[in-house]
Amino acid sequence: MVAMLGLVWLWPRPAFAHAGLVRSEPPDLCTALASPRVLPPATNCNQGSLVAEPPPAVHLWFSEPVQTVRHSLTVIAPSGQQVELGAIQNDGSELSIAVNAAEEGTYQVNWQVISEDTHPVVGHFAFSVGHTSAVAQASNFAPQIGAVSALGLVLQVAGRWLHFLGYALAFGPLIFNVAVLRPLLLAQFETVRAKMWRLCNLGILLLLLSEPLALLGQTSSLGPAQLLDLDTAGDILSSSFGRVLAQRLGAAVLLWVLLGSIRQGSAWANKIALGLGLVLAIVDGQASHAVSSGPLIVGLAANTIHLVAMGIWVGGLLALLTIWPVTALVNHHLELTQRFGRVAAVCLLWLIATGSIMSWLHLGQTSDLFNTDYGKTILVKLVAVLGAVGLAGYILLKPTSKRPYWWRVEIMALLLIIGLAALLVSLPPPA
Amino acid sequence: MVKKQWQGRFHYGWIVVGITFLTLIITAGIRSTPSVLIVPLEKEFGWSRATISLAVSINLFLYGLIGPFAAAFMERFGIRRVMLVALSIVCVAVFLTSLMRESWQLYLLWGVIVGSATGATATVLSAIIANRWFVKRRGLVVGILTASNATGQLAFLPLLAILVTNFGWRAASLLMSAVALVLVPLVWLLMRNNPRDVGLLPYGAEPGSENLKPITGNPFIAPLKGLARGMRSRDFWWLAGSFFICGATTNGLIGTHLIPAAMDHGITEVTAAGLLATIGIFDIFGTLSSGWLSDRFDNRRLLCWYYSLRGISLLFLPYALGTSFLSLALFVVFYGLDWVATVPPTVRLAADIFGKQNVGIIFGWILAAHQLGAAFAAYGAGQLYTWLGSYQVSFMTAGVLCLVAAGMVIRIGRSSPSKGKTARIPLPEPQPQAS
Repeated sequence: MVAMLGLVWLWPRPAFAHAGLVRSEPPDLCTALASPRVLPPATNCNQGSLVAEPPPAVHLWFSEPVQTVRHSLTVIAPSGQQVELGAIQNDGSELSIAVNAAEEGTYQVNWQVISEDTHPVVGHFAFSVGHTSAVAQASNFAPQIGAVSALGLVLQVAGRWLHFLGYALAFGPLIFNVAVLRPLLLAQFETVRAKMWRLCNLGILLLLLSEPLALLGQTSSLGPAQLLDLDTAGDILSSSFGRVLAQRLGAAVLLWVLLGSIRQGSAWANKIALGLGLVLAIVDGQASHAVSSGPLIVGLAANTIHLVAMGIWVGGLLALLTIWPVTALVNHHLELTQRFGRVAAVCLLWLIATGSIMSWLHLGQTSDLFNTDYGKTILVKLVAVLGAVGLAGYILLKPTSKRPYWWRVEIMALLLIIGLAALLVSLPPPA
Repeated sequence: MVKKQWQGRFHYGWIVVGITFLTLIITAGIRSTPSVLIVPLEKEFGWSRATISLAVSINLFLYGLIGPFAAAFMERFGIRRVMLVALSIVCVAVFLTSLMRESWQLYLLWGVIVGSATGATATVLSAIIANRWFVKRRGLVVGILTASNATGQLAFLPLLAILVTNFGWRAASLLMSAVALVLVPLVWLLMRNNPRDVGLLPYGAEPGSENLKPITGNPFIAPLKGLARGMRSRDFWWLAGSFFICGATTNGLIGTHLIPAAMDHGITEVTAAGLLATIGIFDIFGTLSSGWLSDRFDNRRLLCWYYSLRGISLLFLPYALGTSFLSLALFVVFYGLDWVATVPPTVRLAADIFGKQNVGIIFGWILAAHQLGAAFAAYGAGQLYTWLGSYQVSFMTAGVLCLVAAGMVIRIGRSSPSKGKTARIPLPEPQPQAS
């Protein structure tokens, strides 16, 4: 695995961009991106550039087209008044708004946008007219992690974790049924089927529950005070995030429809449900970093396969654990573990391969692995995956009867890894 | 009698279908007229868009609500008499609109009178005709009649728009009134209430098998009793709920808001009206095919497919609007095929579950749910647009709701004896499904 990671990281990387502020007028002096100009002596970047004449408007250029919400651009005068005039002009990757900056002193520009890949990004900078002064509402700056508020990040991670787990529970058992139970001629037992449907229904429930959480994650990422702000929520639902949210909800509902058919014995519905699992993984790609990664198709394909393989492994393991006590299957425990073991091994190989490709796409340079939150999360996840694989190998040495206990431990490890994956998707990759 | 019914002769039922077809398409056209009058009325009288929209809402709502009562009236006084009265009222009311001066006259004429009178000859009429006159091909007949009704609401829009532009809005009103006037003698001459009035059995019926007793109860009480009976059945809720969503996503959302949504993306009003008319044309094919299919396949499966596909296409509509005219055209064709294709299977399921004797009234209530959904969505999408400046949330919500409807219809009749191909098993007696 490490060799594989090393190999792909030696490859030259494609040019990579993620929605971020490229430049602005007046310039943001506090970020390295802002401009190459040298700060005049005694200038505090927190007070921004000093201009003599009031600028008629504020312009921001982003690295890719961005979507706005109601409070995307606010400009606060030294007196604390909001001084924007009219509506935000959105020309794809360029935002601007007219301002009345007649008052002298330091102004503060807050911006919050949603990238094409649905990620919220926020920031702020300042400029001064005539002379510098204290910033009116400095306390407004909430601590940020990964370009969003801390509360927002936590909620985003929770939403994604629930979504991933729901995905595994909803689709994993379906594949377990096709790939393990049917070839062993064990799919016909009513108790086994009932347990499988219960897992699927639980998965659908989690998929549905994860969406409101994801929406709250989105609103609070723009600012903790906007957590329950209806206008912000409405604007976010009108952005690319809303499209993805509706498609994910739709996929969950559609699976519920298909389960109704499958339980009436429709073989077609079973096939469509498996296809739906693939479609949902592709839809998820729109809301991860896949769409902003270099060669779009590679990023999307890797992301899709990664998610599907995760679902088969985690969902399959949960299915195996659930049906383990069924008396009709007691004599088939060995066959079940052997067959599922092979499926899981294939999934693991795909997970490592696609995970390596994605980390190669998203890390600008190898040093990002140690210098950025994103890279550090990858490292922790790598260690956790190594641990889980080691644990899986250890379980193989155990007698069959002892395995369920160790599988529970394995599930805990996998849940942790899914949580790390949720964090990884919520953090912005290094530019 | 058997000889008369079928000896290479044309069954009279088809003439009844023809007359009903004409009536439905004309009354639907009349009902849709206010949408092209909005701007001219604004200009002439200075009424606000809210004022005129309210008349349309009253119209939409009464059009649905009157259905069950119309069904009871038809059972009591005969289809022909009810059609004649309704058409005469429409004719006079539409003529009077050309003389109106005050906004209350708009509410009364276009809203209350035209809404109720066209409601009396709406989809509930097709359900009754199909069930009285046909045993075989019932799905096809419902398909033909429903398509005429739904298509009439869309197909006349371009013609009316041209009339309004060139000759003023009064010309459109007078033309519609004249067309209704021409229909009255036709219905009087050719319409018949029952096959036995012309000495026939229903098309495809075995002698002695069809014995529908006319309802003798009070035409106001009977529908309410029907509603009470329906509400005790879970299947009624599944059918009415899915039909609420159907109405919300067709007449309510797309019918009312596709034109402004397309215009937001730089499409001209004429082209946008053409898009809606195209939906109307493809609707004919879709609904006819659906009628044909509903005679042959499990109607729950059919509905499940229709709602799923409609939901998926709505989820992708924002992309279609955003990209190219071609993908929007594709959406229009697809959506047209699926527009009221849901009606024949729904009628069929209602007839199978509640019995032919009651299907008129019960279906009337299910249809009322359809119109309630339409009124709700027309209003709701407008409000959301005002708030958020786009229709995306409306389209997405509607898409997800359609998928929910797909899940509802597949669960119809789970506990009833009509398992498998429900279409093949008519229940002998109306019975509440206490499931």
